[in-house]
Amino acid sequence: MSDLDQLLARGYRYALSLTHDHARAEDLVQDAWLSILEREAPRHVGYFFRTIRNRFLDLEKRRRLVAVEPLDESVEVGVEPVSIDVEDVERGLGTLRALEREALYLSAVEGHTVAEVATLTDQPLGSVSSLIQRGRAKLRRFLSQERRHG
Amino acid sequence: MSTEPLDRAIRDHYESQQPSPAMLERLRSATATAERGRRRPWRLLAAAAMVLATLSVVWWQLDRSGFSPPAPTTVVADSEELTQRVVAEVVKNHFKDVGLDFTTGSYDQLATAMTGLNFQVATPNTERMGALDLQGGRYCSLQGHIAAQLWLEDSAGRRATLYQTLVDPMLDELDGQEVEQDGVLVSFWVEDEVFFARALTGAHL
Repeated sequence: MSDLDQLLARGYRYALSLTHDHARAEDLVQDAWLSILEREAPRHVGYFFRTIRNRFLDLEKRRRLVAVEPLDESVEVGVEPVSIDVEDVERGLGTLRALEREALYLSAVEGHTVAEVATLTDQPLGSVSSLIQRGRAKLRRFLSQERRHG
Repeated sequence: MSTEPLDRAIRDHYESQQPSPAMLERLRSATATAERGRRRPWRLLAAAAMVLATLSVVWWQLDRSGFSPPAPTTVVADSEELTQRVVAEVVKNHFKDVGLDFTTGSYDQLATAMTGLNFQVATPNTERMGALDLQGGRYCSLQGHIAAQLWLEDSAGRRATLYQTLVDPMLDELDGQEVEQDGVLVSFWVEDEVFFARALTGAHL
């Protein structure tokens, strides 16, 4: 896989964390990459992710679908299942809000610290910390329920 | 409590996701085109000078031998390739079902709402559109230009899609063309400064 393919694949996975939809993720990546080419902008992962994010927020604002939830510090801690089914993870991620999925993605997949995620996404440290905690708690709760019902 | 198993599951999930080969190919091709355009001007000038010099010599020799040149087939090939490229993109977008950004039956309302475009959504010529009612629109791109994808339906609820973007000299070449691909009839036309592409599935044909 070439460097360009790897960069595009990373961009796609990041876009998927925002949209949780294959077609919309590909649209985002395509629009962002074409915009970078057109403006002769830097072709590195940080700039690429930022372009994808800006495009996503722009579209969501137009659709008025950016949901706002109070950043409650007291999140419920669920019990983590012993074994985790891959399909359950995908469905569980679908129950999270876009910004929760994004924060989890940047932390768990890209390996960023909370402070780095805060810088990358222009959000306060406390907000990012809440997003990650709440995202994990929701996902644990979903997986526990699936395990009980399954 | 450790978050490792959960984080690993999230990581495994995302790392198993891949973009489609078609998208990768499109973006590789766009990148290659952009890189060709970024070459330094002196290189382009040198290349142009070499081409001109070669052509002059060839032309002079052919002229001396009384040779009559054939029709310019290269231009036709380029034009066909452009048509195929735009048709393929329209057909791909036609089958996508990613939801509308704006739901309305009015072209005027859509023109007011879609402020992110570099042109205003236009009401197409009624004769071309026939009995297709507007359902709404979403942002998309066509050949790298920001565009509007409009959803339309006939009285039986069958969907057609209409694309609008600001016309440029390249897209202008497609004016009046009609091509069928994968059971989709794609028609191109230009009204004022707006380029239109309409996609109708077999049911409408």
